[in-house]
Amino acid sequence: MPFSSITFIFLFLPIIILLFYIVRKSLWRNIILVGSSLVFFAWSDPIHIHVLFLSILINYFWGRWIGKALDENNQKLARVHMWLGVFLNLSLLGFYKYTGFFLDILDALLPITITTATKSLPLGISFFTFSGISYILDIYNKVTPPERNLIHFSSYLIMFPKLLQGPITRLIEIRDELAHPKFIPLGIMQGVRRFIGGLAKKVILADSLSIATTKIFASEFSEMGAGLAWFGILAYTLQIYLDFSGYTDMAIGVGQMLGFNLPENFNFPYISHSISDFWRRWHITLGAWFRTYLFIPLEFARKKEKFLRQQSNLLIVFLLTGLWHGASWNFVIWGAYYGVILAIEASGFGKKLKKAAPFVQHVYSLALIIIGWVFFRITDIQSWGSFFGALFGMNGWRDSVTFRSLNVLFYVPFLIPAILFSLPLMHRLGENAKAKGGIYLVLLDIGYIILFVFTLTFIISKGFTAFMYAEF
Amino acid sequence: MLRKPYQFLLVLFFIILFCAPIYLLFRGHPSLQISLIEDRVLGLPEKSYPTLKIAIEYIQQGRLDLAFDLVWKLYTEGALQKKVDLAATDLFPLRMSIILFSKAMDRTIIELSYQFTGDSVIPADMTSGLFIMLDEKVLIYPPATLDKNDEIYIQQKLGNYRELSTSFPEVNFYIYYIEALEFSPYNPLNKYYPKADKGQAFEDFIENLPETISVEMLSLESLEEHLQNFYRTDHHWNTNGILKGYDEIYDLLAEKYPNIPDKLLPTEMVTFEDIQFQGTFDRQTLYPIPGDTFTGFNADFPSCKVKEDGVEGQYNSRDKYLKGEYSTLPYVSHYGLYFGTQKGMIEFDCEVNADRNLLIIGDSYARPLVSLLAAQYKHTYFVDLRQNKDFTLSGFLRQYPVKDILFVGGPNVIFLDADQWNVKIN
Repeated sequence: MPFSSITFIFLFLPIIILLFYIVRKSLWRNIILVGSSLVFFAWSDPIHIHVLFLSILINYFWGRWIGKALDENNQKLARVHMWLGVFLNLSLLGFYKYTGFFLDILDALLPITITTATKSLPLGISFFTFSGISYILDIYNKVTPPERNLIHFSSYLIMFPKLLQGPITRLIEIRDELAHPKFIPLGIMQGVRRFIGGLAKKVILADSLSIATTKIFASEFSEMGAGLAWFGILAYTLQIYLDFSGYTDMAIGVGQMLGFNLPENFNFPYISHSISDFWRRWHITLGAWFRTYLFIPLEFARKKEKFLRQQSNLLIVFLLTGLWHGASWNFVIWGAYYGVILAIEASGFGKKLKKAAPFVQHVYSLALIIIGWVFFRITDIQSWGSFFGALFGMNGWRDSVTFRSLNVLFYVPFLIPAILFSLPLMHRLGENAKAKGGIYLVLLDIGYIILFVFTLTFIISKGFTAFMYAEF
Repeated sequence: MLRKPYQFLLVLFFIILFCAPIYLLFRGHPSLQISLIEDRVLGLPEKSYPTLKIAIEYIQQGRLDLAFDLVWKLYTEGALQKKVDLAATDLFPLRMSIILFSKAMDRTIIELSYQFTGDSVIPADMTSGLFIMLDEKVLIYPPATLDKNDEIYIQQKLGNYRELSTSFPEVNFYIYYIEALEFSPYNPLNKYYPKADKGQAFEDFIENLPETISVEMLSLESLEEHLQNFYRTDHHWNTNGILKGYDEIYDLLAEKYPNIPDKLLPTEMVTFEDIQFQGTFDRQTLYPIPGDTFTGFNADFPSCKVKEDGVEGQYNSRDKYLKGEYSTLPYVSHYGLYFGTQKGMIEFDCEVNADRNLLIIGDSYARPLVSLLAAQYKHTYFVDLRQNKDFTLSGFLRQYPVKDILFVGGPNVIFLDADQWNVKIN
């Protein structure tokens, strides 16, 4: 069920909020949360509901067994359970997401023909399996004890605000809130603001730009002028950020309305000073996951190696980051692209970059990020050359495929608010109003209400579109 | 005054949030809601869930397994969810006003974007793909640009015509092509579409068509001609275009039909002054332009028995219109009501001094022609292949002896949409 649907905003959300504030006991609240999360998931993907149950059971029981082994000081057994738990989570993910991809590779390598039936991907599987793995590893590393209450555990793993597109949350981050839910009007108010802001980013800006980019990236690049190609990739750069961060804002907002503080996922990534900085600001919880559970263990395991250790570890981590985004070569190459850049930055270039003028740092970062989105957006690797050709003027400024022939000229004004909402400016204005309080705060909230009503007009008139990140 | 500033936002937000469900709860069970603009019944759960009703009946009969199977299927296929989503949007308070406001916003953004271009033909909204000619207040489609798939379709259509003419050598085949503005050299947007078709596809099609098939077309020789022959707010041809088309088709048929009865001439041109015809383009864009003047005509139509899908009925509401019995509500489909309704097969059995029968294969453009051409044939049959999927020409000819077969329509019917418009032989 998309957050930006009328069903969610005017039926699902009011019912859940009402139930949440009528019922005060944490166990009953968590029962409501689990039930509503199952309905939320099944609304969009009913045939994969069993995958959710399987994930809950695997992680709950393996967590308990690891905890028990640790309590008995049986480190060896705990390790066996830990690896089994991780393996089962990865098997679940691999079975649905990567079977076809790896069989295609085998098919190409071996002199036999392998045919597989295409499996549909359970929504949000990449997110909830990574949450499951973090839970298993956190118990093994004694970061947090296992959750004994199945209802509390289920509400952590599948709570609907973060279920489909994150933020990937560790149990330790919301454990207290699950056990001792708090009703704080200030939190609800912040949640409402956050939700409205995210909804507007997604519906008004990201969805509109997505119509333009869909047309542009479906057309013939060899006949596209540089103007349209640049508009296309800039619009996509903004769209993917506004879509994903808009969803995250809504998730965090709904979480706050229900009394949970989910972790932040974005921190204005397009103002980064370097690519390392970008990955500290973009999809923060995924970056943190890979850093905590892969990069640091790799560094530790290979600490005796001196030659290019950090660089090769970065490359491994980002190859897997790319693969996490999709079972396709373009995502792998996109990950490798960032792995190589980060390895170069880690080899001393990053220090030199810090000495350059801030403007140079921003241009460097933004240029590389935008190029990266070309690899990400265009799945057909053979088309990359012709798109870059169009970007760099091989077909002239204008060619057969134009703003008018694709009927996308009227999406150009959307770039202005899209840029504004991608920079900290609007956020700072809001923060200033909150700090000043009084009439400024009232005006800010009038602005939010107008934005909410305005966004509703978009939803009702244009229907709704699926969120992009749910497919990863 | 509110005690704390944040309460202001909370109160307003929750009022808005709860207003829709409360409205739905207290509005009761209104009678069937039909949206004329969208030409559909708005999604009311109690009207839209026959499967659920059957499931409830099963439960009442104690057949729980059957009830479960039904609901499970509805749910896993996503049909239940889609219906609820649709109903939630359909029944939202002030929905139509909100949509109108949104369309107005669309127009503001479009006008802003085109401010610096000086274009006099600009998009009419953001979603329909239609354009508005600002000076003439005419809604039009942009030029068509054909791709490789379309070329394949054209080849398939040509193959179908060849097969028809060789399989049925005793039958006369005719094509009457209505040139649409999007396929014409006179579309005012052609200059912005370097790959615009400009009539090339039809020319290529004609060159490869078997010579035994006679072809005529309502050709656009200028943009003005389009404005004369077609509505401003609808894709259909108007009375002017229809009569011109009938004229040309009559001459086309007469070439191989020496004893063809006299052409039917309009005895009266009627303008329905109180009708503002807001056609399909208007419904799609909600662009604020005046509706078309709706005109009809009367003639000495022969007395005919009409069967719609085998059932005797009234093909159109022309007589009612001429008596003044019609709706003046906006967005009513006057074209369909006045000129004829769409069915799988319409059969005209007329008191005409003729010994030949005609089969017309076409879409809504052919509807006004049927009652006119029926005056030249003993039996006139009209088949819309989109609504008559099982139609085969061999089967039809076995049952109905027809000498002349006429294809009437725009690009899709004549040469482009092989999926829908290829005639199955057996």
